[in-house]
Amino acid sequence: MSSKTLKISGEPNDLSQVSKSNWNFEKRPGGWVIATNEEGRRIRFQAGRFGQLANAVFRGNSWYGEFQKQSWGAGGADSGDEKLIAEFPGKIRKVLVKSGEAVDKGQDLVLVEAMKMEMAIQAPYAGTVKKILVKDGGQILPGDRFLELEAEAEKS
Amino acid sequence: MKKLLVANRAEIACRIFQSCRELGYGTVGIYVDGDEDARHVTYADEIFHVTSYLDADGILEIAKRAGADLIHPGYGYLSENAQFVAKVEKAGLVFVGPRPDSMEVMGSKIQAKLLADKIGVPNLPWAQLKSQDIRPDELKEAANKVGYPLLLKAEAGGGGKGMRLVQKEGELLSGAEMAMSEAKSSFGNGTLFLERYLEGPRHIEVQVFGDGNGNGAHFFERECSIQRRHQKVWEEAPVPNLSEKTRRGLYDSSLKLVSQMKYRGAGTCEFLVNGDDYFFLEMNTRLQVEHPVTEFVTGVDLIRLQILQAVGERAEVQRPASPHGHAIEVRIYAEDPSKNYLPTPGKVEVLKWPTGPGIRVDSGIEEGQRVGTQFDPMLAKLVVSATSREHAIQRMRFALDETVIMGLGTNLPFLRKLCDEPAVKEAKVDTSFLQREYSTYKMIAREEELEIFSQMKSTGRSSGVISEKASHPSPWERVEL
Repeated sequence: MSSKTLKISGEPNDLSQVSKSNWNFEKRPGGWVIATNEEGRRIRFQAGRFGQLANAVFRGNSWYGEFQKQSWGAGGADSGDEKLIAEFPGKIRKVLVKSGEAVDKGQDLVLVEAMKMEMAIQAPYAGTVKKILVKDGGQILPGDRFLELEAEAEKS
Repeated sequence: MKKLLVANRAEIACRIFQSCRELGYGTVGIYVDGDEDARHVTYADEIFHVTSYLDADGILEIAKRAGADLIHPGYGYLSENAQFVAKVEKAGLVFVGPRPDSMEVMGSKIQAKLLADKIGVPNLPWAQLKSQDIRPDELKEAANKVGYPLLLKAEAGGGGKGMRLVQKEGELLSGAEMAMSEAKSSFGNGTLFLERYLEGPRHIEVQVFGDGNGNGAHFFERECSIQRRHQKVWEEAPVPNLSEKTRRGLYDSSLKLVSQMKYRGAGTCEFLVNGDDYFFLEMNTRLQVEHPVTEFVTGVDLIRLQILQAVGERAEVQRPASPHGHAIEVRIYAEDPSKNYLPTPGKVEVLKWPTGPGIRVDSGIEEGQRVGTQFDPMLAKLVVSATSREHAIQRMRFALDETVIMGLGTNLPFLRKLCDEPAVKEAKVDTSFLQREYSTYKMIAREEELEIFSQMKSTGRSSGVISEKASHPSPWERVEL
């Protein structure tokens, strides 16, 4: 059974231990979500996943941190997906792939100019480019994701 | 049509633009590399690139090129730079702010203290050292006059440099030697003065406005004691828990300073308050960050007042006899209180501000804007006002609960916690409070939130037994309904 950990605000929270009531989610205009449980408890909040970053804002509590979930990406904490996120500020020289394109592990995906050097962001695993989030000439900041790469299914 | 150039950025630039637009003036903004996305860049009628917000000559060139009639410096940057004012006026433009001589006097700690002494404004016990060498007898005599604990400060110092705390006589000589050598190497000037050190005083300031001819008015006072490392976080007007005698004294002293200096424009006189005693700290010859709380309780637009004075129009100043209600401002920073308030750069992915009666937001950010570490991490100011302090705190709680900023870390949970902090509610906070009690702050997770996280699907594709609504896209995915 896969363990669910939500690493938010710097600390892992083992969610498999938390489950007293069942929540129902209703999306409302403006990005609001209303969660209700069987006892009628009603909580209005906002949530969003922006690349590797997860944010959730409840009344008075703002959650900010990494999002690591089994079902997204290649799976596991060391999926290599973090290599698709900028670690320092820089500039996109050239995007080398297209959305929908299949790539091999190690293939150059994006050329970046940072810290007075030019470097290539390589595919940490084989897969299909899902969504390209940067463009030629664009600026990047630490935490910016270059693209979403869906892992190839495990070959048995 | 008159044009005003704002030599500043972010929220204060946007604030000044508002007053300009209301007066029918054209607005000219400036930006540096790294600020391309900023809100004030979008907001200005005309925008120009500069190399630095401190580039006086460059900014003046832009002002002339754009045909600006006035320059407003905002706060920080060039706002208290007498040479800049002189250049602006020499170029035939109007500087919105005080005269250079006021900046020069108040820019020198010793000049300011001498002036206060001359006109009967209480200073902290202090003493000047005449020589730039250590003279043990002179030192001891000065220290006995001032009393312990004391601070050894560099005359030319600033930014916390060239300061040394001396608890007792045994530390005096060595402290002076270190302070003097640091002052010589950092500022090229080893002149020191001694100043009595207060443990955890309150920081209270008075908003003033002078007509330049010796007349002036005050716009009541502000409480700014809730600060961390000399960075203000929560400010209020008027000041709670203050004796009327002390309040009167603060007003009198402030107006004395305005009168003596024939001060022109908006300014703030800052004091340290210990019980019923108050001591002049310094005067800021500019508009301050926390001016909104004063605007709320007086109904005055301070920037409009500044501009009208600058263009020579007689502005009708109607200040109420006493403050109306109570106002509180909090500063929203891109920082993580749980990690020693480390800056948290990122992109403003989602931005929602609270609205409603008595709620004001002075924002420097827009949705989609990147926030780096190049500038001051203050994102915005959230200000509320209500008829009573109790109601104002309730309103701040509401306003913070309704503020949504996603894509970067903020100090919102910490600000929210302050609304429930007993010392804040009882107005018993001094300048040492935050450093002592909130040197770090970790938000408290609610079990419900963790439950919700555990049950929120990460993608819309997964099916769930949780509810019949599981076929809807996951709450993590922000899609159009």
